[in-house]
Amino acid sequence: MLKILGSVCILIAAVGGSIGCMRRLREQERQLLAIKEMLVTLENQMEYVGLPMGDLLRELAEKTGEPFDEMLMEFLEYLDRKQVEKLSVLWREILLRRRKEYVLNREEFEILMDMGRLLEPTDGKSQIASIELYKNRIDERIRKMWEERAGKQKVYQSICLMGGLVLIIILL
Amino acid sequence: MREEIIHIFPLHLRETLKNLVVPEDALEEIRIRIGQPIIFHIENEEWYLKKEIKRLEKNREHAYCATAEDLRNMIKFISSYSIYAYEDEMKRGFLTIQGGHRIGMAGQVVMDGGNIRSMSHISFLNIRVAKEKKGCAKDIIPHLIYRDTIYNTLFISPPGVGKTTYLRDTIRILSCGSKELEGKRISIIDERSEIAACRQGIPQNDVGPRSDVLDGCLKSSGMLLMLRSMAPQILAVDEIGSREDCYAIEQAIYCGCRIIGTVHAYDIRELSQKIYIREMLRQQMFGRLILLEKGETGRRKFTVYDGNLEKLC
Repeated sequence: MLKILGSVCILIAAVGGSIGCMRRLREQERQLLAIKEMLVTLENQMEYVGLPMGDLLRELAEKTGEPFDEMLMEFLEYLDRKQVEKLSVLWREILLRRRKEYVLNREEFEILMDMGRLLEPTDGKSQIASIELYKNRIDERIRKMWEERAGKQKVYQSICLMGGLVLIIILL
Repeated sequence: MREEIIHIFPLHLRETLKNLVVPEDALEEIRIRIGQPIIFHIENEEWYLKKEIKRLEKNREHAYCATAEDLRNMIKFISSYSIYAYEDEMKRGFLTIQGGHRIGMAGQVVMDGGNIRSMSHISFLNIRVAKEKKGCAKDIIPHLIYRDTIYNTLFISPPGVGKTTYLRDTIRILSCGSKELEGKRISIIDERSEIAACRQGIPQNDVGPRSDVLDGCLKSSGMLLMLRSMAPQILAVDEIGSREDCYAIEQAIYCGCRIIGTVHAYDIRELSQKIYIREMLRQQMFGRLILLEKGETGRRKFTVYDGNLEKLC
C-alpha cells in the first residue's frame, strides 16, 4: 500500500515538475514579448511624440508591468536626479542585480542588457535606427522560441514522466 | 546657486558649485566653452571658477577649463537624456530648462537647402539665469488702463534693459487682475520662449492664471491662430518689427483685441524710423509707449508717451 502511495506521490511530483517547466516557458515568452512591446513604444514615442526619456520610461513601467516595472522605476530615480553620466552602464548594473527576476536565457538577457545603449542620448534618427536593430534581434529570439516550444514541451513532459517512472522502478 | 542650474553641470563640478556663494539675483550668465575657463557673469563682472579651492575669483589663472567630456555630459543633463525630444529647440540654438533658465548653444551646424537641419558638436554654452522681477511693472499699470481694458501698448528699450521682463510682469498683473481692472484673458505668442519660458509646453515663469501661451510659433501666424482659437482680450508679443507682425497686429486690433508688445529702440526718434512701426504710429494704433532706460546705478526708469508721442510722465 505504502509503495503505491509513494509511487503516486512521485508521479504527481513529476507532473508538477513538467507543469513548472512549461509555465517557465510561457513566462519566458511573456517577457520576450514585453521587451518587444517596450521597443515598439520607445520607437513610436521617440519618433512621433518626442516624450522626454523620464516620462517615456515612466510610461513604459506602467505599461509593461512585472518584472520590468521595478527595474525601470529604479533606473528612473537616478535619471530624475541627473546623477548618471553613462546610462548604458547603469542599465547593465541594475539588470545584473536583478538577474533572478528574469527567466530569459543568457542570449536574451544579453540583448536586454545591450538595450541600455539605446538610451544613450544621440540624435533621434540614430536612436530610432538602433531600436529597429534590437527589435529584429528580439523578433528572431521570439521566432526561435515559438519554433522550439512544441519540441521543448514534449521533452519536458517526457523527461519528467520518465524520470518519475525510473525513480519508482529504482525504489521498488 | 540654484539647484536646477547645478544639476546641468558634470557630476565632478557639482560639489564645487554647491559651495559657491553667489548672491541670488546677481548671477546673470555662465559661459562654457571647450578648453576655456568657465566664466560667471555677476553684475557685469567676469568671475572664474577655481575647482581646487571651490571658489570664484576674478583672476583667470588656474581657472577650471571645460573639457569636451564636460560639454557632452552637460548636453545630456540639459536635455534630460532626451536629445531626440529637443532637436527642434536645439536647431533654434537654445533650450529652456526647469526654472525658466535659457541655455544658448553653438557648435557645428548641418545645413539643408538654406535651413538648419541639426546642430552637432556643441562646444559653446551660455546659461542665462532666469530672473523674474515680480512687481517691476506695477507702477506702469495705472498708465495703461483705459476704461475697463488697456491701451495698446509698446515697451521700447535698447537690448538688455528689460523689455521682456517688464512685459512678463505686465502680463502677470493684468492676468491676475486688480482693484482697478479685473483679470484679462491674455494670449502670449512666445516665439523665442523668452516670456513664459515654456519647457515641454509648461510655463516656467509666472504669467498669471488667465494667460495662454503659444510657444515657439512665428509671431505673425501665432497671433492670428490665438485670435481664432483662444478668444483673447489681450495679445502679448515680444520684439515686433516685421511687416507680417504689423499686419497681424492690425488684424488683432480690428477684432477688438488689445496688444502689448515690445520693440528694440533707444528712443522714440529711433522708433519712428522703423518703417512698419512708423506706419502704425501714424495711425495711432498704440495708445501708450513705455520707454525703458537704465539709470547710472543700474536702476530702470520708464517714461510714458501717448499715441501722439507726447510725453505723459
